[in-house]
Amino acid sequence: MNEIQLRDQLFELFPPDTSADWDDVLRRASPPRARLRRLTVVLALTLLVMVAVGSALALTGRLGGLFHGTPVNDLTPRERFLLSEFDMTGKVELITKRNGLAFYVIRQRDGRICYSIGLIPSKKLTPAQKEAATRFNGSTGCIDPRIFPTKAVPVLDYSFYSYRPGDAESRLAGLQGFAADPVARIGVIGRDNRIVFSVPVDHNVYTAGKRGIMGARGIVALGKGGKVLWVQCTAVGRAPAPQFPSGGCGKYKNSPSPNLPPIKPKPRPTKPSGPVVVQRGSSDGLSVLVRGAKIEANFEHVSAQTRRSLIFKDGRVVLGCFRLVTVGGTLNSSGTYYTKPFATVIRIGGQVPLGARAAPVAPFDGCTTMGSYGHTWNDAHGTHDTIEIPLTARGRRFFSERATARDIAWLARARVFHDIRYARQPLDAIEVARQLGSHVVPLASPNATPPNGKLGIWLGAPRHIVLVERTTTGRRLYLELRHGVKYRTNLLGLTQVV
Amino acid sequence: MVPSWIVVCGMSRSDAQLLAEIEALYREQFSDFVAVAASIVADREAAREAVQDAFASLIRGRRQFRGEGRLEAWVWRVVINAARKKKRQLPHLPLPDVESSTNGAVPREEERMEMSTLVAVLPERQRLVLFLRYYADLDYRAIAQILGVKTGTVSASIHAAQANLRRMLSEVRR
Repeated sequence: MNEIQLRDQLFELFPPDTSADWDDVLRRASPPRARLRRLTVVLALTLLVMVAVGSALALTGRLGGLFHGTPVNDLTPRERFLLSEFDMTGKVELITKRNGLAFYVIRQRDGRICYSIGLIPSKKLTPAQKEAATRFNGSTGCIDPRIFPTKAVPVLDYSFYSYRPGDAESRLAGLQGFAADPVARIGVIGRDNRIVFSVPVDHNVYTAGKRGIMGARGIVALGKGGKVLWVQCTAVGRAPAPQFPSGGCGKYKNSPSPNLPPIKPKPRPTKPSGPVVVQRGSSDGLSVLVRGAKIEANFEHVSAQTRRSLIFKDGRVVLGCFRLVTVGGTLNSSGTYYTKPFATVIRIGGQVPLGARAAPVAPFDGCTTMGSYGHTWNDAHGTHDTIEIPLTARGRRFFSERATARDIAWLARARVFHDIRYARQPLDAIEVARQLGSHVVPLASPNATPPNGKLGIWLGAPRHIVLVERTTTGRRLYLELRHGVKYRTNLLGLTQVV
Repeated sequence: MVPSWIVVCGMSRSDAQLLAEIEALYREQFSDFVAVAASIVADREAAREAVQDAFASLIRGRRQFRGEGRLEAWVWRVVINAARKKKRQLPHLPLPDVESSTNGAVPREEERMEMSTLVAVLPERQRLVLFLRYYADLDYRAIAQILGVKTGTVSASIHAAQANLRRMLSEVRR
């Protein structure tokens, strides 16, 4: 039995499963409402701030002059775009760098302040990795300045608790955050309700690097003389899992929450200003009508075969529309995909994605429905989505270029390409192209371009590979690999390259 | 529930991206995840459950992913661990006997059952590497990362799995 027979046998044993149900995953990921408060407190998975002193007197004692940093004036277009996607368009300041982390403050024009902690990118990145890198790759969130930094809330903690399978108790992982001026150290309450570990606060930030503290029950903010200024005890209520501590933190009582009036969020405009943009498009029997943020998809004329490809086993389909944005010469798509039970006519749109300013609204560049199947390089499904509906010329070009980009990217990660990608000895491009089939042709030089419809490969020493393909729009797409690592590419924005 | 006095006006882009990437992996490789999980729990429905649980757990704990390794490897590890956990929860099912065919010609369904049984009696690591390599289409390095072993161990396990399958097949069909 050779490898191909073995593969076929395994696929026969387990035919492709189309019962994927992402909504079910999301339901399982959401804790029951009754436990939500506890989980929020204990796991601190999202931006979470606990308040120390809730008296009105304390709340009036706001601390000023904090977080002076160095203005970050070299934001890349990509970083600017990513921040703007989450309504963070203010002045960015680097507070400090510690333990491989960079601490930023983003001062919004409306007075809000956002705080971000990101990993400092390695200096040894390849050009392709540099292009995709962003400094805002960690926790980022905004908080009402009436809350932090104040005497009542002198700490904005970005740490989280976790446990690995088999662990008897949870650990405080990645102790990190921002602290107001009077806080000299951040202490960790251990399993015996004593402070077992502490880190200094420097430049208003603290971090314990990658150190994890097993059995931690909370943190305390300590003043210069060791005075406890604020307590965040996470061992409160009933633990959501046996690994998490419960029963309180002994003498360290949780600082009370302030009694601030709730903030009324600014009402979002239900309708975009200006005239409602109407777009129509159709492909493969699916017609789409877009009115502002509302999308109506009509599947009436979709063939039975195509329907089978796009309907998941649970009866749902995934569809959405996107807009293309060019950022620093690179294409980025902005839009939302929706999972809906299949019906002849499906109406979607209008919801505001988490963290975004508003619901995506027309004009869109295209709409697609995703298939309920997986992809391997050069398979029968091809490199297009099940149904792609371009709504603009730009959208049409994007679909075409993305399909070509996927051809290159999927070959680069395919099993059949593994031994070529990571080969230690120089290989012959003609022989490699022959192995990969008639779709692949050898190239005479790394700058050459293959005939239309062919994927070109150039192999050079040491361990240098260039994959090239021309799109139907005439654009030359390429991926350059050195020592198996993506070195240079113009596929970014079109598809993910691994 | 987040207290009302907290205004979280944005989430980290990387978090949103991470969630999107996890969802993309789920949608693109659901079949692979189920097949590999089924190779552990020996029950397709339980395997689906394990995959759903694994992804729910991934979403809840996505902040644990520090971006130091490949996301795909991390996801695979969680799926495999979820399948192992599911297997422990299931009642122990005895493996079917490997019966010999009376002649060399093996009917299709019988062949399928036979292969299923042979794969089931392989040691877990051999079964896993077999599915990760030939079903999920992962390379040796990725499999090594997922299983926390050396690439050479993956290679040896695949070789051993193939040899075992060939040997058992020849014995069954003799």
